Amino acid sequence: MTSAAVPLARTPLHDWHAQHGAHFVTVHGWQVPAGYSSAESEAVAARNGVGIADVSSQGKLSYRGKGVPVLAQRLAPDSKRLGVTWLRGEQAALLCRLTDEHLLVLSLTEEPIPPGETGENVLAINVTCALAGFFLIGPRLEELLRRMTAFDVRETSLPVNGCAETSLAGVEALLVRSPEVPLPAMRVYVAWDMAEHVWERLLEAGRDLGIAPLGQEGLRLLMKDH
Amino acid sequence: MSAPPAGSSAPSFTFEGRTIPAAAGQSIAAALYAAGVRIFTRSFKYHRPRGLFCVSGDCPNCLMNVDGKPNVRTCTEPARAGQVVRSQNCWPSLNHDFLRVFDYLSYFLPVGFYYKRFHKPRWLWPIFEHVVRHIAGLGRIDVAARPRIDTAIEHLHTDVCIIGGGAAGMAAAREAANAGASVLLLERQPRLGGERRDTGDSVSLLAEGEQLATHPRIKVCVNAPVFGLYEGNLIGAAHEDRLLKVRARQIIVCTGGRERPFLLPNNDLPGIFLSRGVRRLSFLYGVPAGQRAVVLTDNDDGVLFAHELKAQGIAVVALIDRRPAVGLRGEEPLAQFAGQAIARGLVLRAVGSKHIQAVRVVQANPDGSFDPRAEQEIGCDLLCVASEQVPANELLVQAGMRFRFEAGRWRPANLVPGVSAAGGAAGTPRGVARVLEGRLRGAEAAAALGFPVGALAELRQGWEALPCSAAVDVGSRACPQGGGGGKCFVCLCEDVTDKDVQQAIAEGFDGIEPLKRYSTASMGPCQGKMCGRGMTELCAQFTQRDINAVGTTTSRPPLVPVELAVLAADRRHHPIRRTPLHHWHQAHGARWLDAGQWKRPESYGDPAAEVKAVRSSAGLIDVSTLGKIDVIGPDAAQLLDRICLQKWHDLTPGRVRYSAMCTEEGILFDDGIGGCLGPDHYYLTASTGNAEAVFQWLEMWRATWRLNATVVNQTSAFAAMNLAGPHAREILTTLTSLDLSSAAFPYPALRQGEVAGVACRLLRIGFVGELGYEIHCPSAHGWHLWNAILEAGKPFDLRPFGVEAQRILRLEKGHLIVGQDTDALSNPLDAGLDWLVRFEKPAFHGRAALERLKAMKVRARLVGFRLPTTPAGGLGAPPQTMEGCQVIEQGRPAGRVTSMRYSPTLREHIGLAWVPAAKAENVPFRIRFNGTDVAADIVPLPFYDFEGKRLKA
Repeated sequence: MTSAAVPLARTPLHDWHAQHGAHFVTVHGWQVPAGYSSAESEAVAARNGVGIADVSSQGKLSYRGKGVPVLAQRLAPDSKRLGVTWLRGEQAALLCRLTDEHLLVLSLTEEPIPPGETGENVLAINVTCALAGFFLIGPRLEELLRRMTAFDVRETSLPVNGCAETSLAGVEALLVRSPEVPLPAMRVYVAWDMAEHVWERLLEAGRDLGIAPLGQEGLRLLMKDH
Repeated sequence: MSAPPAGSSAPSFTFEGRTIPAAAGQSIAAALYAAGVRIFTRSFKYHRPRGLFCVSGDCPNCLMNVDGKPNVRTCTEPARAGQVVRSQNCWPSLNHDFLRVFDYLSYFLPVGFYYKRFHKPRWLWPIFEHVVRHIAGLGRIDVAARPRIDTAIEHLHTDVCIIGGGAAGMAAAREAANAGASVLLLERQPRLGGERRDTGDSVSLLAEGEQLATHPRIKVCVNAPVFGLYEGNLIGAAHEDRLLKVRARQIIVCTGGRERPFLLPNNDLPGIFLSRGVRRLSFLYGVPAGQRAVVLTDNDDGVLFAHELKAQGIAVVALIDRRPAVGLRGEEPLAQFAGQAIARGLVLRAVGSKHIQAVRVVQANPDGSFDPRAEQEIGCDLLCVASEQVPANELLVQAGMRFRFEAGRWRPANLVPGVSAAGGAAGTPRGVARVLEGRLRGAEAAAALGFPVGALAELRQGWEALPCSAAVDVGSRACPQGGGGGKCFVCLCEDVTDKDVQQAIAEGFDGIEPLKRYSTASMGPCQGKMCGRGMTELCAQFTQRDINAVGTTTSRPPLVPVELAVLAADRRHHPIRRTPLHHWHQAHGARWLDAGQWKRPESYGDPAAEVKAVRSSAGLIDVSTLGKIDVIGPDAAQLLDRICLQKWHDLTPGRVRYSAMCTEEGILFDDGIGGCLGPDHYYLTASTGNAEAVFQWLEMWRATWRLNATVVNQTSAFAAMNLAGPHAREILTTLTSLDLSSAAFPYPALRQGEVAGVACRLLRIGFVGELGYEIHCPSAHGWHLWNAILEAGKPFDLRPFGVEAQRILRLEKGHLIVGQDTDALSNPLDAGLDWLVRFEKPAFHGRAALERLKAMKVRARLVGFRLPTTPAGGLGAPPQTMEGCQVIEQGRPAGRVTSMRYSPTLREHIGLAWVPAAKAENVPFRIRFNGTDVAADIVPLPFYDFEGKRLKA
């Protein structure tokens, strides 16, 4: 057996990024696009139109079962029954309560809650590679999503810290209105194998809205604004 | 006359070879009219000349071909530089159309002729049909034109949606928005203002519209005709190349009213206009409709209109009022007109051949009769018809609202939750009442949504206090008789005359719906917008029934023409699923195959060589599209035991089993491999096409039986690849520390471990019939693993193979594919999977049905066959084209071929077929292929490696 170093993971859009001039950087064992042009111009595009970042490499852990309410309460004591709670600081994460018995934790790494600490009747499933994630940021976000989904994406219906399972570009999708940046922002999760289809539809539909792909560095600039 | 809307450049377009200049903002038809064109179309059946009539996109009189697109309403279509505009349905030209001969042959073309003539003798029909198709009808579709694909869809959500931005609509929008509701205002024309825009007071109105558009809660969308109102308050509208789907909590329909034509002989002559058409032509486009006008009216607005014409410098030679007294509420002195003013006036006939030259007029007696000797001819070049309006209420009818005719007006007769009407669409007469009604409906809509509306009570009082004036009864609306003849058209689209309607009623089609279908009136491009009410009134009059008893025809979407490309806009979202190795395949010459939503490599160029590689050295195929399902929990084994045909509860960790499941009816639903990963943890695969269905099936029964298990769909989460061939073990050994020896990892079994540094699930199974390992890993590492295996396989001539090679390999091994070799009637007993069915289990899906089937005589069975002799020169077609061919027994169809390939390993044609169960093994059966019968021998399955030695190597 030839022992290789720990192999690098690729997002489902890896080849798309490469074909569009991305330079890559390694983050937590993943190859992710650092940027396509300059971080500043990407951030400007997002501030004026819409930026779209591939965040498929970020951790997604699904907790299911009758013990989920107790677990959610323990992780975020002030969380609502359903919706999103933003944990800040060291272990930043978005806790998405999809149903009473389903909690999806979106974090930067795939590090799960240690098995002993999830409590009774909770099944932890790492869905990092099941779902591709896109981070849409910018003032024209709603305009773009209106062309992709019949779901009412206005803030009145999907407020900050709200989430919804719906259809986007003909594909099942989870929308999370994110509080992480001071601009309108939406995280979109679709099946891994649908990633390129949805990504391309978003870019195509948003052409006149000034949509531009956003690398890690550009994304960091936007996050810093907060 | 107000100037045409200001614009930077004047576009010019070509029409029948002429260059036509247009002012900026003008419509095509307006520019043509200004250039002297008077005949715009030839009519549907009689090829009579037709000119502009409604100038609002409703009637069929201006349909032309614009840049290859047929049936464009040129009266509203903006003129653009470089357009190529052509006439349609005429030969050789609009001005001289020989097909007008049908106008003179009309005696032979009565109503319903199309249903009655030409059918006998029968053989003549195709000839007639061919001829009729070419001389009647509308424009032709240019099939050579490239289909448009640049359409898009937009979903809009709003508290209140107002359809129609006229006086009522604008008032409703402001009121609802001021109360706090979000408002979407859809207007089909380029500017707000409705019919007030078409008159002289457009200046204040445009300012009002602009002000409205700046309201923070109002979104105005012009050029957006609504084509349908659907369940759940869904509105369909087209906005340029965009399909709008609007969901509104409250809808207010403010689509206004429409004038309808008066019936009189030759009422289709060019030069006869609806008064609003004349207004639009002059105020919107700056083109006067004529010099010497006759105005025919039955209401005050017609009198106002006559004044308007004078103010524009058009001579009004006569004002003919159907009412007993001429003038505004009877007060206006008649002398104001230079010409005549005739009360109780009847136009007996319009005179002219290709354009109106005069009208023949008479004053009727109070009882409606008239003295023919008093008839006089008044010369004119323009006849303006200004009739009492009828509601443009089609969308309301689609929403479920019914209308009743009372006091000369159509008014709503019921309430529809979430939908209301204001203004002309609700039958409210022109003027302040429409604005007040708009405000009231806007306030009501906001109040219904919970917004505080202070002025609601006040508005309601004001509305209720308003006197609703009845329309003046002007007696019969039928065509006046005795004026000297000429056709009187009820329906301009389909050339249906009043005599046709009478004839149809005489033939027994006296209900409004059969009358419509038989006469085809209101079935043309305007869809009854021009003629619908007229038909109801005529039908009532001819059958001597009440108008409300006759009723109206049903309005259905689309209300306005919509291009199919626009309607299909969201079909572009048809999803494509790509495996994590998609781009590798693309870069290595994969030929693609669409498998459901998936893209799969069919081959990399040479399927036969790929088969050889698997049989002689090793091959690698991407099987990431397989359904992959985890079932976890204390009741996991029980769930699978009850769903699947074979046992699960005795499966120990590390063991796998071929598995299949049936529906309640005992029909084979899907098959796959199932294995045990650990205590209470099972992993199963499903076929590519059935992955979602199997997952949902498991999830549904888990919930139904309330079992303590979790079903996780891992299809997208795992990449999967099958490494198969005699050298598979040697290749894999270089990548993993797992003991791959047959003793430690036998066939069939399941192991977990690292391969090339990636955590994997390995299944030792043999779909293709060789030593093989199906390796599943997180999809993010699929690319790495695939490349690592290919690299390790280089010394062994490892070759990637595609779906086609896999099909050949599995056929050689006699493995069936559910859905290809089975259908919606196939059960596992007949399909040769009886060994799977564990009747000793207490309960499982399909058990009852299968027990019954077991007791019955087997009718058909799935067998393997080979062609003993291939016809000279091969089959003359690829062998797979034999799939679906009939099995013939004693000259009759008795089965079919489901799979067929040439096996490069066995060097013969092999396949699977359903044959009668009684078919003897040693007698060849026959397959009917391309007209000849081909002999086939039944062969015991599998064709290849009968003992399975290679699998277990």
